[in-house]
Amino acid sequence: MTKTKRYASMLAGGLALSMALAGCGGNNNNTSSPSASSAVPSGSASASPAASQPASNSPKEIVELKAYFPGDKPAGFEDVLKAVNEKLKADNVGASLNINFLPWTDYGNSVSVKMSAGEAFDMYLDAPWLSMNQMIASGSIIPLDELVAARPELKASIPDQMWESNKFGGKIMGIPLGTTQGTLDGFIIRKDLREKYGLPKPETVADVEKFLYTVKEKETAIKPFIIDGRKADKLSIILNDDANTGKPSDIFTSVPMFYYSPTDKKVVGAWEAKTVEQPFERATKYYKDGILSKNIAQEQNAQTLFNQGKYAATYYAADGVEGLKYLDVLKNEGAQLEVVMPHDDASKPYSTFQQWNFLAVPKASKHADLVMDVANWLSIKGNHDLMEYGIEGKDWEADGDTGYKPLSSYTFPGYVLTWRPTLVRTPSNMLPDDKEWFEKASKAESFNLSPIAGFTFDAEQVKTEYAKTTPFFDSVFLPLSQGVLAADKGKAMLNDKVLGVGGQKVIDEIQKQIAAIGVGN
Amino acid sequence: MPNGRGRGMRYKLTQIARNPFLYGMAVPGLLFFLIFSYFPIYGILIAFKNYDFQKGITGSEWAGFKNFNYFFTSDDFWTILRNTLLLNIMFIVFTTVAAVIISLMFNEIRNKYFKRISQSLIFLPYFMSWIVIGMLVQSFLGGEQPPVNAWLESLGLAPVNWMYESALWPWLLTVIRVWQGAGYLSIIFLAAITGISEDLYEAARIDGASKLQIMMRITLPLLVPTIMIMTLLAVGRIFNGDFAMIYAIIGDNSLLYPTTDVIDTFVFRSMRQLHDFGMSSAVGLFQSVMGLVFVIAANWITRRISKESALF
Amino acid sequence: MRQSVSDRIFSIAAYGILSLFTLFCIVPFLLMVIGSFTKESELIVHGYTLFPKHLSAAAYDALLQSKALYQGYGVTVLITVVGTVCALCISAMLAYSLANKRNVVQTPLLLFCYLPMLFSGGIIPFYIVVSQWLHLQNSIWALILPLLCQPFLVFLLVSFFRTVPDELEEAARIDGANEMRVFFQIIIPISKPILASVGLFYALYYWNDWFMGLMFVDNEKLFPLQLILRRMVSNMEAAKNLIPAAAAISTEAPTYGVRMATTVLTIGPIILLYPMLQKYFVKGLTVGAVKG
Repeated sequence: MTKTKRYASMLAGGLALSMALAGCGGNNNNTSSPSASSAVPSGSASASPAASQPASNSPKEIVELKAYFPGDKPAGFEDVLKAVNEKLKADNVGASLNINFLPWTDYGNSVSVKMSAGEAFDMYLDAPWLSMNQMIASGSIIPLDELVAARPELKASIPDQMWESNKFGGKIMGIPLGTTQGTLDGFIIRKDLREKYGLPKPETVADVEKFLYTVKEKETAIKPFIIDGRKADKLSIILNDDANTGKPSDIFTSVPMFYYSPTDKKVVGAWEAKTVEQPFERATKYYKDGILSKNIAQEQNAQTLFNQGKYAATYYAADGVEGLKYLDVLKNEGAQLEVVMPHDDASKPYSTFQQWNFLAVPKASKHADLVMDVANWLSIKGNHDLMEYGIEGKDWEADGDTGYKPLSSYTFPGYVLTWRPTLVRTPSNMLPDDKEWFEKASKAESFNLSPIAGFTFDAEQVKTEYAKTTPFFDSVFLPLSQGVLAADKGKAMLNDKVLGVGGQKVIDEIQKQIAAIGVGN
Repeated sequence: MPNGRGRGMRYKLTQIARNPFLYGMAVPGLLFFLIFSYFPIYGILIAFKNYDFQKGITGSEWAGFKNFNYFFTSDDFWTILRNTLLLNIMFIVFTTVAAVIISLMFNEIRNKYFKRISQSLIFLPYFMSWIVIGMLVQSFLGGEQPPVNAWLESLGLAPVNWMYESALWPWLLTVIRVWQGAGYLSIIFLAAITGISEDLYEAARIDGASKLQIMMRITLPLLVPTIMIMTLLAVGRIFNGDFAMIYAIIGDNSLLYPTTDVIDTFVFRSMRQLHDFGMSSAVGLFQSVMGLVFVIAANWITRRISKESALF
Repeated sequence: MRQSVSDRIFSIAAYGILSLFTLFCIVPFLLMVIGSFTKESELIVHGYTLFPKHLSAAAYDALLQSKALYQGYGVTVLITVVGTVCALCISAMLAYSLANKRNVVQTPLLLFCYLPMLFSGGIIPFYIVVSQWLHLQNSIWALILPLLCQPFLVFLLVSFFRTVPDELEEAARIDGANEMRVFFQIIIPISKPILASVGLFYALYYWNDWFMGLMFVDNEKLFPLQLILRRMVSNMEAAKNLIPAAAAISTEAPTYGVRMATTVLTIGPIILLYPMLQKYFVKGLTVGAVKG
């Protein structure tokens, strides 16, 4: 038994933790797109959603659909689920939901075991960072193209661009759950401190650098910058002047440590990628100068420490989540926050428009049609709001069409089921800066289509080499991003180590797969 | 000797038929292992397969030894192997020694209340999860000004850069391990000591032996079989790094990998991107086979010295 | 009270060593207990201390608001009691048979019981056996049966039974008793210390198990305590990173505090069991009492 447990915690366990973080990078609440685009006016929730089936007046027999999702029941979930199931019945969808939550740390493993054993359930959350590629390869989940096409509300609630960019082998293998259309990464800083030292509002990384050095020099109780060690790879993005501008640079392939150079049409390792050159240099310098904490490799409490007013700046992403984590900073006397995003009106960063999470239907489910009926039903604003924000008046109240004010602690993890770019509301206490950037990130027009859009790495052919290069992300790439390992030394080391274990084969395979999607040449 | 060694099958069967109760008693337990351990054992095949979720374990294609490749040809293979064995040996030796000393000392204590209370208290660390322990370690040794360094400085000692000094960590981990596990192990030893016949002590006291002599000549030798069994059981898992412990304490601090990275943490990192059942099972199988080889060798040696102390 | 000087020094040393080790064990534990009552931000900013400035029961509030928790205690107590009793019986009988010198297939059987400690088919076939062959899912037996026999504890019992003098058994057998009777009437009574400790360890296995619940139980009424706590902790971590509205309501989820409070909540009942069993380990005051 000890062994079984060990694998449980090893295989999925650790994944889930790191992946939980990764998962949040891409999908987030979105408010932006006006709900008018969904063609379903809010409030018309009672319209029969089961468009694919002839309307009939006789109540349908109710089938219970079993779902597995990561996380735990939100407080007050029973009441909301009861209301959802009643409404499903009233709307004659013919289904009720039986949602089973599995702890994040065990989710990936448990679901793959249930799939392997052929257990019948009807829907679950999968993703490329979980086991989606293996599930698709083995035919364990079914394509949804026709089912989606027959369900207008569902189809309309997700922009065409997003459907298009989230196909696997040309097919819809899961409903993409997400809100933003690309990533905008920057800094969140203490505005009050910046004003105290008479600095102008930072626009560039260099301005932020100046602010950080000023804090270092003049503040005794407040230290310059904090980020969790595990998330320090973000430094390799935000410390680049051109991170959000879309200027010619190497593009991250989404395979850790490998980048794609659009000018040379070539895949390169982090040791020679232009885009991380400047961040590595800067991190090295900051670490040496004490701008980055000596403790960075071990840091796990960045959020709390920043909230406690112990640091002047931290990492920010316009994803609708990151900014909300730091509202407690405002409780410190005189503290104010502002977002610094090196970006101007001409900037259009690349995006693959790929989402992180997908609602998938296992082959073993006998009720794929009904699952999609429910997904469609949940794409109607009133139903969506009921599931995601709870019972109106009790759990939340509307703040216009795209905002809400939470009244209870009910928090449904929307990324498992309900996130729709056209339907999302933002909490009313979001920072104005944060809201602005989040809305920008939610619009497809804010981004340029990445030359490698459509590429998802299938490591099957080179899995031995891939498994051998992966550990260097933790042992070399992260310390390099943290500045703990000096840029020149670290890059040489990464180069030697990755190529030393056959990393060239991984590079070649990525190159081949990018070429195959028709952009390599 | 009424032992079955070297005798024919027929003899064994008649013996079994003649003592139905003796063998019958074993049946429920054996059945348990058969159902819950031996039925699912075919899962070992997964290490030699290209696992496919739809085809299952038996239906998936054979992959030969391909799943083993990555691990054996890994860059840090020897370092990881060395760390795994070294840490496990340190854990086994120091925890056992500490537990033996503790249980022997308890045997000498006469104050009933001291004995009871202290015994309960040393068992407490066993209940703390590694994650909580990791949080405490991080809080005392990590951060920009580790509290432990403040203590060192107040004692006039030089501060230590704990999170950088990989050479210190095998010892730190051993201390933590002894702290967490010695209480548990000492309960086992105490139970064994309690089983020692009172007559032996009586006889020794009549001979005028001192407490120390009694301990060294009676208690300790009679404890040896239990110590050996516990050690042999631990030897079987000597290739298995304690993932829960090491990951909770070391986490992702790459500066400490040179001495603390073990097979299980390494495999965990290798599989972060690629979640391959076949490859991780292959490593698990390697660990089990090596453990078996070691345990059989150790058992063989033990058996030659004292049959009572051997596992089988 | 006649004690030689060397004996007295020896006694003092024993008290000294044990006091030190006890202190060494108890301090971190106390830090944890107090930490679970400390304000989260103080823990992170100032570290752990025995005398925190701001006490807070936030972690306990977060955990105890769930009704499922009390049900979880019920399930866990039930499986611990039933499981431990069954496991102890089965393991002790098995170990006695394996340790018996007259057992002619001793070595192969010992090996049979040892191998599961090293080799396992992994989680997938195990899942199939329990859920599809035995159909134990969503039943209390899924939480009890798979943990019924731990090779480690069986071997512990074997090593103890080997030390039981043969004469005891021989005498009873001459009187015409079979092994079953010998076992229950003679062996069990003299094996109380080891049975108590093995029973304690089995109780711990059952008490701490969440894995069987996770894999085989969907019905929340059957969730054991540890699974409920694991879900809560896991969810709080996720909430911190993922769920925007959670952040909007209470930005400071006490994840550290909750982890420690979880330990305190689970340790309570089982720690009561230990002193009850302890009388079996503290067999009188063997050495000194007679003299004194």
